[in-house]
Amino acid sequence: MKTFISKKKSIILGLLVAFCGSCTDLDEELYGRVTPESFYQTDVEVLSAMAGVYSAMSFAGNGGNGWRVIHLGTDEFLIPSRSDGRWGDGGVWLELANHTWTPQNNRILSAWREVFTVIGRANAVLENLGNTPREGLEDEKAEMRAVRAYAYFYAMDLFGNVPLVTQSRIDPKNLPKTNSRAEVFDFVVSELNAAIPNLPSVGTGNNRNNYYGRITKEAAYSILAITYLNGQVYTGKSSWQESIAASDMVINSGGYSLPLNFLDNFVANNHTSPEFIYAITVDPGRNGGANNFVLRGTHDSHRFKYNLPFTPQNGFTVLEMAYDRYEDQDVRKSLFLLGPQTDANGRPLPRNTGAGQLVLVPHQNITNSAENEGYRLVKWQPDPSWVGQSGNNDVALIRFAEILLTKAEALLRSGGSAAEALRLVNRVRTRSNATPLATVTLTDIYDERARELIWEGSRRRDMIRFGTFLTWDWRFRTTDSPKFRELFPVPIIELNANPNLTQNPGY
Amino acid sequence: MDRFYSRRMGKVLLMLMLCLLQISALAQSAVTGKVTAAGSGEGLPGVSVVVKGTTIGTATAVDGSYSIEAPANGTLVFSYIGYNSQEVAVGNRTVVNVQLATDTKALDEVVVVGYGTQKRGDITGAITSVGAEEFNKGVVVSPQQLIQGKAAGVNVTPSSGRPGGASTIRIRGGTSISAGNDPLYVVDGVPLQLSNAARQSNIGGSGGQLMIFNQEPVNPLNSINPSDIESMEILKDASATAIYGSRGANGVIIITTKKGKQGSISTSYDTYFGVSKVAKTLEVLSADEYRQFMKDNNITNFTDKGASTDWQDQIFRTAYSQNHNLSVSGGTENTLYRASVGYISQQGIIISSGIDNFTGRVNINHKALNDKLSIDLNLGGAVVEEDNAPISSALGGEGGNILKDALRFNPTYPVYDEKGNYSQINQFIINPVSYAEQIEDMRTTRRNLGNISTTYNIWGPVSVNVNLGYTYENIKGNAYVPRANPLGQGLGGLANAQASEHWSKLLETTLIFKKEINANNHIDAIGGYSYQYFVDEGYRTRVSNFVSDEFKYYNIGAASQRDAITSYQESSKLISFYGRVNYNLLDRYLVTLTVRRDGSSRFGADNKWGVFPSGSVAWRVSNESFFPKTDLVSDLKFRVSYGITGNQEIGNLLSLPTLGATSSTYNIGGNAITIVSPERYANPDLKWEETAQFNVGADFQFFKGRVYGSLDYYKKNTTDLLLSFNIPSPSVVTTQLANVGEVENKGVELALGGYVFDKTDFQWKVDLNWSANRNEVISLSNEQWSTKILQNYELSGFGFTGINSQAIIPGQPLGTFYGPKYIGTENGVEQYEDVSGNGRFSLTEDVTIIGNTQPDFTFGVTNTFNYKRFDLSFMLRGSKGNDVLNNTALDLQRKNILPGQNILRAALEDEVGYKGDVRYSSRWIEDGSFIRLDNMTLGYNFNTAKVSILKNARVYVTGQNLFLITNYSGLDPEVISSISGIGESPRGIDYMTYPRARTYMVGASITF
Repeated sequence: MKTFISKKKSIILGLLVAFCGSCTDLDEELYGRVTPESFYQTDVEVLSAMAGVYSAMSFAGNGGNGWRVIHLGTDEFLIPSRSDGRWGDGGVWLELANHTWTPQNNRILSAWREVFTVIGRANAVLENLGNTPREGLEDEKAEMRAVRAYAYFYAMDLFGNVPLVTQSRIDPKNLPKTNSRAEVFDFVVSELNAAIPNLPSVGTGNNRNNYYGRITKEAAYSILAITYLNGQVYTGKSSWQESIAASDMVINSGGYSLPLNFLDNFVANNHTSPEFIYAITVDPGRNGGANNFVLRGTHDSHRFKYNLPFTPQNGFTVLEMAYDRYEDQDVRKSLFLLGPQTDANGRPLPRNTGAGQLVLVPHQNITNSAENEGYRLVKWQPDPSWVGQSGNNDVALIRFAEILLTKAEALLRSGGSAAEALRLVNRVRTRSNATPLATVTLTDIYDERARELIWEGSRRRDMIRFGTFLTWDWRFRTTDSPKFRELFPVPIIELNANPNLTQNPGY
Repeated sequence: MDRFYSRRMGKVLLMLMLCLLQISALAQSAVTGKVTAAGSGEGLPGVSVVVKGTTIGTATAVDGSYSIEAPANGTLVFSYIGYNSQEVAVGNRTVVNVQLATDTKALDEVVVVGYGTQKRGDITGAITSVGAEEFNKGVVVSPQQLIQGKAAGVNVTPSSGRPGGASTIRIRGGTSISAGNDPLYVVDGVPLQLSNAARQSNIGGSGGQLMIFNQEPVNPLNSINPSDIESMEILKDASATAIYGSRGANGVIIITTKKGKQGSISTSYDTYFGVSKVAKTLEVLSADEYRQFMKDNNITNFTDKGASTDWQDQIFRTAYSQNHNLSVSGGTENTLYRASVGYISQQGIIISSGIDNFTGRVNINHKALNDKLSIDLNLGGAVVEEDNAPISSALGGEGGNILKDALRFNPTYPVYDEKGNYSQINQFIINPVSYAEQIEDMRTTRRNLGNISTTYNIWGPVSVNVNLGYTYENIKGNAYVPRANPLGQGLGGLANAQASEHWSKLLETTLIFKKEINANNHIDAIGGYSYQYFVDEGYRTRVSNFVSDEFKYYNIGAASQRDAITSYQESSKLISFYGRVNYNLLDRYLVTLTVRRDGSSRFGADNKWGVFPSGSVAWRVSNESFFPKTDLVSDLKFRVSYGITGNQEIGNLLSLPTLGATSSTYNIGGNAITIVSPERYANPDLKWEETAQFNVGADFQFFKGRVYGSLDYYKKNTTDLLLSFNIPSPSVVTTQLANVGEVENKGVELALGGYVFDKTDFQWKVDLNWSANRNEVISLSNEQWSTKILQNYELSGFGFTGINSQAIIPGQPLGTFYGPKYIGTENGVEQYEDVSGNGRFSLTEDVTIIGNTQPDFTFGVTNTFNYKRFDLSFMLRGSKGNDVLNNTALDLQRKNILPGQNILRAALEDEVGYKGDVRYSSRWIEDGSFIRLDNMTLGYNFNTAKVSILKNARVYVTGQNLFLITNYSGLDPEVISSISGIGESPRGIDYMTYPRARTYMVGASITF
């Protein structure tokens, strides 16, 4: 055969030159893809890599699967299965609400993946930044470590015992092993502390606008404060003083204040709020995420109330007890929808089926729920400039008010100044026209956090910290949950992919 | 085997025509004689003796003698199966004795193989050839369906009943887990690459409620008009396929188009009209049953609109199809030509769906320079226009589509409300009729395929061939979800416009050496170089928020929101050297050696080149002098082959660590920053999958070819499987392709045919093929990667996504269903086996093997009858022992989704209570064994002798998918789902597939 080839070569050579440019070159053409070696040369290229990590953090506030897993099962959020077939979804939501979830629940899988996507992307960026010949990227590396630590905070909070991985590439021969929750706690704390010196402070210069959407020194301290506040849950050992110290770093930075109007934090143009310590940005007009709370959470007919260019899906509701926590004059109470519903001009809103006005009533039946059951929360205000079904409202993951309440709680729990705790709590209350408290107890703080931070991701943590998550009851929840429900299971698909993982007890 | 068919058919036709020719009376006298076999001299009984040009005929007696009245100047035609026919002039004789020679044409018939042709008798590999006469009749848009059930070991399954839908061909089982198991298609010498267009056809992106759009891949063979195909050769063993090297592991199908024939211009026109109806529908609760259920269960908050609608009735229709083909062919001694145009229009059985297929083809063959130079030009083109129903059988989806919503839509709703608008429930469950009538999903595919192959005889035995080929495919997809429909209302209307182009160029230079060294030594060798370059490119724009439904994809600028604007380009290259030697010693000992060295741009830097050798020997034992010359065994040949082939059908750029820009941004400091993310890890070792195949077989003919067939045993071991590993969290890259593991296929194939009756007026021929394949995953590990189980194929339906239905487990076959074992229902709650025996059921520990999609065996039987001018043929096809997951029932046979969604009636009979959960378990795995009457045709050939301009005229009626015998409770056990992205589409998972039709048609063909 060899002889044929050699004979032939002279004949074909001419044709080859004409027909194909590079006949033995088997390198692949990249067509618009870049390689780690050639990228990260400019600041904006570095930022484009970090943007992917920040974008992945959106899970904690965007109302998607991860957000729902964080909120379901608490006394402030429900997705009832509607009698018109919506939101049944094979029972995945009610399973979460009823504390009967299994490792097969695909929304828990989503939550796991959303959390670990942040970690994986951060690891990849860190590795690539480490390999690039460019110097002087220490601040960016610190920033990525801080975001990764924040994601590990969520992993620790939801799943407890998770693998700690800082390598970008997972070695299939040496798959990550589960670390204990306490080890993850130590990792979160030490990573944040290591990153803080390199992070910019919002208190100095004009970092607020330029850095908006990124982790600052104060954001890192805030994560520390919240982590320490829950230290007893995570490690069995309290860390109130550390929480107070971290809170003070934020409060004393002078970078944050409470805007006079609570609602300013939730309007479409909320990115200027002086209260935001760390927020996920939403910019649907430029494919930069979506705020779909109005779409998911209001009734179909509310499109006439808010002049929406779409029909809402009648999904998210609040439990009645969440509404009942507020005094009538409390500004925060105005965010709820209940009773007879009217459009922007005061005309009655129609029901989907049958005649008559839409009247939102308490939940009657959560497995076969009528369209008008359940009070609604319109926390992120309808945005007049809709992009498709999405609003522009950014979602704060950490607001200054939470840090104030965090410090107040840590003070009370550690026997610190009750007067300062009272002042901090009242600072939050009076802003919203709630009656100032004369004295403050832990229960007051527990309730105040519920009022102030509803649907902002802290209720599950608070209920676990205050020991109510397993025992709270209402009409459709009459038995206590076993202790192991305070952690979500490792999703079965992840267990199969990595046999080194250990399932949480009870599952 | 096709040759017999064609010869018989030709002869029958000829005789039938002759019979009707009226010859003026001439002097008749008795002619007698004896017909004997040449060589042995034995009398041949049953030989047909006909006076040429008349209806006068007889048959020889037991001793071969005959007597017939024949004119003195007439001619007698002697014909007998297995012997060459002979015409003998009477020439005033009264005794005409004739010796008939054995017909060796069957063994001399030319079969197309890779880079050349071979005599059937000389073939040493496992090759099945299916000629045009044997093709399945009926409304056939996809050429794959032509050979369904016709070849042992070749499993052809239509993806769905969608008009023009792709058919999946599996030759000798699947060798690959994720690199694709489709054979290589070679059309007139040009290898086709299956385009990757599927991923572009889903306008909703992965997941989400817009997964309603058709995601079936474009069928690459739809550009070829079935009536332009001369033959399809299926190369099965390594000896036959190794010449295609890294693309040969899944077998090769060579399609040869029809050429012109020497003679005057001949014009053919054929046409058919067909009527189709859905073969089966599923039973759901009627409006009355729905109301009764609510009453019985004290459910009050449900909506009763008072109507009683059978939604399946509303979306299915009687569909019509028609086909017209016109071809002109002819030729001189030096130039042959054939040109054809074809048109097929097929309505779908779902309203507002269908396909129009226009094809054209010109083939010219020219010889010059004293036959030293030959030029073959083949050019084909097609335009395929599809109007797709909003349906998708893609796995892992939750959302609705027209079929799902027809099953679950509230039966008390009327189709239209009192104002004449579609009655709608909400944006998640859509009025099925509005789905079909309001939502548009159009796809237009334009394809050109051509090559010019020039052969020049340089000197004596040496020729050189240069083959230049080009393929071009343009797929344009336009979709619109209007504001008027609840699905699009929230989006203000959603339009998607996309186009993709796939083209390739081919250059092949082959040296050909052919020499008969002496009477006993024949050598035939080739050596060549091949270069093929493939490019895929495309763009896609998805926009929403229109002010009016009039603009749609015609004017995407009228939308106020751009959801996605993307474009891409990729290319790949394959450079190869190949050679083959065929050596024939004494016409008894045959040797074939081949080798191909392939270099592919897709492989990693350390593994760019692979070598694929094969060798085979055959022994024509019936040509040995010691072999008894009897009629019992007229031909017998043993074959053994072994070889290595590869599979390189993975995507491009999989070995490189690339960063890709996404279409998403994230706003930092007020600026929208485009997200650039790592796409994968580097894998410089990435290479082809390697299949080592051993084949031993025999070809045989008994009773002078009256019974014929072949028997093969094979064993294929595929190593270095391209496995897509799920990388455990936290990894930015969630899957990684690596060459790991081994899969084995072994099996037996039997093809057997014969004439049960073979009389002048009546023939009955039976062709049977039977094959059994055993598949086993040997290993999923190597030094680096190791896994005991890989779970795959997500379930579909609400609450089931994210749960895998199958698992790949060493020691088990591919297609193993894996889940809890259902043991019954207690107190309205499903119970599953505690496999681990720890006293409680857990979804983590108590999952096990609960079924398998691999059949024990499959078979096809074709019966062909000829009676005078009538012919009747029917084909039965079947499969035994294959399991099917009824995912449709899993999703909809559960009472707890009432009243929001309607359910399958079967749920009323099961014991699971109203509040009872339904989980994926063995309960939903059913036996999918079946026997199907695929095709039945009755034809009549007119006597055209009296009409001088007519050469042939025929009418026929055909029924397709006439009955299905199966215990499977779903629509059809023969299902293939689609998946997004690369990988193997799973068989045996039934979820919302476009249902099969039952089709009746009448057709006619006429040749001038």
